[in-house]
Amino acid sequence: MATDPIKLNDREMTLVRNALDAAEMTEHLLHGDAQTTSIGFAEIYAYATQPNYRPSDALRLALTSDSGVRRDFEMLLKNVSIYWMPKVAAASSGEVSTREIDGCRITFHASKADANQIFVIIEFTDQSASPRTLFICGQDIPMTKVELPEVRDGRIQLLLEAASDAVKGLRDIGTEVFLR
Amino acid sequence: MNETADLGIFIATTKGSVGIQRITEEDPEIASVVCLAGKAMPLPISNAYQDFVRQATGVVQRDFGHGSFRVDLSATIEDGYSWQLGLYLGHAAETADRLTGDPAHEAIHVFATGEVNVDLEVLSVDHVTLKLERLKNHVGNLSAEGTRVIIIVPSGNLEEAPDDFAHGNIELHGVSTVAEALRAIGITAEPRPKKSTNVILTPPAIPEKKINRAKGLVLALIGLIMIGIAAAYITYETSFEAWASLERAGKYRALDNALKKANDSGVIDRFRANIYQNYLIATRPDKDRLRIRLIEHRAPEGKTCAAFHLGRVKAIVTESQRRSERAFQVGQITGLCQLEFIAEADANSIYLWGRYVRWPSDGQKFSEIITRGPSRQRLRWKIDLTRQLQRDYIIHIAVVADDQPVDGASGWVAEQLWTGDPSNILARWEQRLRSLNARGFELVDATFSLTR
Repeated sequence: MATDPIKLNDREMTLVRNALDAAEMTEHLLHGDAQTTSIGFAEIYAYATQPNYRPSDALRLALTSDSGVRRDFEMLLKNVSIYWMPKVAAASSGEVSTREIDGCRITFHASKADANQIFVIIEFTDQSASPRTLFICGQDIPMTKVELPEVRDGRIQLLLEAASDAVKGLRDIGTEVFLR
Repeated sequence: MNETADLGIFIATTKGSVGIQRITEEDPEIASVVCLAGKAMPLPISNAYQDFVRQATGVVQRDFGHGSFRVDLSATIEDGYSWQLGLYLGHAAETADRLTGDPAHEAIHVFATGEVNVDLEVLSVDHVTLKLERLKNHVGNLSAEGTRVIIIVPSGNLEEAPDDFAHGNIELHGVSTVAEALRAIGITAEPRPKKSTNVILTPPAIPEKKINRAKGLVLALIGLIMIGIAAAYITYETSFEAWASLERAGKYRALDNALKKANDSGVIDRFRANIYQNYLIATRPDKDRLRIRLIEHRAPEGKTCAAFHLGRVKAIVTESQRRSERAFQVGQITGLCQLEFIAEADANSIYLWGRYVRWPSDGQKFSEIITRGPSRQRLRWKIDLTRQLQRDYIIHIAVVADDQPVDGASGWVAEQLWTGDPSNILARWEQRLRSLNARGFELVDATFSLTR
């Protein structure tokens, strides 16, 4: 029996869309499609959740070149991450000096010893927060994964090259940052 | 390079000497860090160095007036505290504009090993014989070139040096304080230790008056008793304060060594150590106020864990019950998507540190180890279970509590719990419990078996 969509209210329409989306996503991740036959959900999941997991070349390539895999991966990250920092809503383009969401803040400080090296400080309001991995995702930059050191007194400090993908990505207003 | 720079400072390690290349003041919001040779590569001792710098546990900020530094070393140092004397001398040399990171042969080459406490005493360290053995060729060549070499070790380790080690241009100094080490390398402007000093009050002038002989004798006796009590009090207080300062600084290995040494010494030292140990035991957190909980997240009937992880379905959440005081009910892997272990204390003044380990029930190696803390908040381990979990597993959570910050994943406490392989984890538990209890820590644990 066909259902007339006009008779469904907004809430019901949303539920239907979500159900279809979930079915499509699960099918897509569990069984793959023409573009992603070599990438299984287990590998995507392991890459998203295990700090030390080394991805296969196929996964690396897919995350760089296959927008579908990338979209699925980001969807997965949103669900398994402790913190998600969306794109920066900045009036001007360029680099940011601080990224902040409720409960988490990232700041950048050039090292006095070498201005080409940057201290990245991640601070958490919840002192028991203990993410182990940071992902940076954006349209025009490579997907970057950074293994995090242990949280100390509610903060993590990284020292990175200013020219590294991680620093460029973190300071780019067009990226999303996930802490898991 | 500064023209007055004439001191090359090296840290003697079991893998050879490690030179201090550069010490740079960083912005105050930066946690002090030790890097490898100018690279963006923090070394594992960075956290311990941060504690060594920053007040209230550290001495560098107190003595050199800044709380954030970056140090670049020529090679890596993995762990321990014996780098402290070398780095302290490095800071003193940098402050005096005498540190050179690339010392020419005219420069004085200083090699140091020793731990430094908050009172600027130099404590004994391990493996001094090996460290000196590793230095032998290096300092021998320097000496042959006419370079002055100064080697500084804790006075407590001096007897471990070979008899003929100091010769030619090589000097060997055993020191018990940082001030002695600074004098040995020719830095005269000494730091300002904030050691508590006994204040002696001048008694108010008593007008002379005649007293009878018996009354004078009684007064003299009372005076002697008072002096005796005061001397005993100061002696006890001095030892206790030294031990308490080690505890406050989180230097549990040094505290353990100091108490063991006192226990092996004379009757009075043993008596003092017993009093302090009893104090530690009496003040440890209450075991009944610590809890480890386990929350199981299972996929609903007919749904997969993938759907749960994608946020498409909500998990069925249940709190696992205990089958004994130290074990949860056995769990079924099928349908289990996530485990959540929570360690918490009733009082938020208690620091918690915990370790989660998982291993196959028929295996001899750990599959996963995750540490959390130290933190005054609850500790939480969220463990996502993948479909690959095809074996039966055992999970063990150990949580250590103290009113001071527990010394983290690479400290003395973690060492007490480390067993190397799973077979020993439960077997020697009572022994580990006793050793941690004796130092004022409470220890609780829980085991969870996962079966197919």
